[in-house]
Amino acid sequence: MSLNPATLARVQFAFTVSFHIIFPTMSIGLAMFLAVIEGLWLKTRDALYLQIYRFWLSIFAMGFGVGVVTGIVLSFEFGLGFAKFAQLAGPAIGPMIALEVLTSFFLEAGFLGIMLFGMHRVGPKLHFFATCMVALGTLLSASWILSANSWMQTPDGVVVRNGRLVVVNWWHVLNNPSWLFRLPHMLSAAYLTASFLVAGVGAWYLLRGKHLAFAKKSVALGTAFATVLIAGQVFIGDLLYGKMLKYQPPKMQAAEGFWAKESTSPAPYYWVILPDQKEQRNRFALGIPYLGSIWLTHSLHGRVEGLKNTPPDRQPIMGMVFYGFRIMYGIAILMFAVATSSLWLRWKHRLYTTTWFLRFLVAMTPSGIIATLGGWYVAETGRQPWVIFGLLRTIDAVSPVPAQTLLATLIAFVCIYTLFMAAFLFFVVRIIRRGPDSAPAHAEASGSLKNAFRPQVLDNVNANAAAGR
Amino acid sequence: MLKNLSSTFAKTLNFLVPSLVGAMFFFAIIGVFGLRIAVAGLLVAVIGAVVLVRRVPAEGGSR
Repeated sequence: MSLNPATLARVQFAFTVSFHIIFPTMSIGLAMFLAVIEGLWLKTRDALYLQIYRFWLSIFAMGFGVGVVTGIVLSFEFGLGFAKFAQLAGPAIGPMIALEVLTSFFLEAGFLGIMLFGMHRVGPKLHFFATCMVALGTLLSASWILSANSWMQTPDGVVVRNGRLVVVNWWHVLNNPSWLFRLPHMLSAAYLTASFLVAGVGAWYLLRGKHLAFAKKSVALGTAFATVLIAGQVFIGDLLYGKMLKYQPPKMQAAEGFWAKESTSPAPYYWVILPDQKEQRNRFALGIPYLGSIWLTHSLHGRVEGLKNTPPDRQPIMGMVFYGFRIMYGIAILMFAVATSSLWLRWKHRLYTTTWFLRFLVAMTPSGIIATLGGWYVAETGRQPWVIFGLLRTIDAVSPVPAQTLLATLIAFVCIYTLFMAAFLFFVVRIIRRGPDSAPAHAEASGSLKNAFRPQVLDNVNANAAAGR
Repeated sequence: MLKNLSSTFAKTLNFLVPSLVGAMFFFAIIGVFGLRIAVAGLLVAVIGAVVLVRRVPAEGGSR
């Protein structure tokens, strides 16, 4: 059997980027959550907030570390696996990636140390400032990367001259047609991910009758954030859907599972299909009658465009886009159900005592991560066969690297990343099983950096370390 | 018998009311009734949630 270098390069990138996105999603969400929690602690001086902060800080730190390491790999993969893409797109996306380093990485690197290790070395307000700067850094990082990726989805501000891309309008490259919709969609996804992680862990403790004060506050905070966020997320998602329907019709045609140029009227909303790309039809389809027309055309008898509107050589693989979309959308509906239920139970004063709801919350703990992965699969597989939509096909972007080399590195990535994931899960599970520590107060510092090196503060740190705190 | 019926009715109501209200808001926010109603639905949902979360403490003993 001969191996196809193009397929291997794509599988390798898909694997490494899928693994990577899990961690920035968590760290973007947790960084903002930690900033809010520390702000609440400063406002109320309720030690419970500090306990929650310290608990999630360890998990954030591990996720942040793995996210940085696995992100660096992707930059190298652009050059090694997709050299022609790097060569062509470099003038447009190169500066964005450089700006990500100059703005967000520098900001994060400058303040992460204070955030992780400075609780006893600097004052509470300075520590809070450091947490906010790290949260801002993660937000800026997401902005640059989303801008670069959105430019690949909806390229703008460039012209092709002598086979090279020339930037003619930087503002249009940065603020391309989909960026302002995709950025809040991704940020909301990250914040929802953190909300469900927090609520899920709290619910798990409540079901076991452990760390009750911590657990109740976690469930209350997690569900409250999730309730507000999911309403906004659904709204932004619908706006983004309209935008992509305008700029990338094949993606949305594939996402709905219809082949015919126009669906039947009324159109069903499919939840399960067995698509046959070669014969351009579904072997099997299961859906809810009328719902396709209502949701997609906002009328009772509207017809939905199918994938046959796009020539076969320009079609994405329907199954991948469809199921990516259904996973994301299905989870969004479940999140909406959690939000509504949590408000109802809060109203009835039964938020902490309703066993089915707490079990549901525990099951929803990784929902944000799974939905984000589903969404990114829609974005990336739906753009195919293009790597830069309408400008460069993926097959033309692959480097002339031997298949054996790609296979060897792919195997290495799978082994190393499996170890990463195992170690990450091992430590996260250990932290969760151990539970929150009793929250010590900040060092009695005035808030200036001078205090960081004062002997009595360092003595406190050493004493705490010796006491195992 | 009546007590059982009343309990079943209360349980059904506890399921139906949030489901219907949630579904109505979901349909509104995704734009089924137009953009203006979507924006209004979003605002009502967000402000309502914030007010409810702030005003109603989620009390109740743990298991």
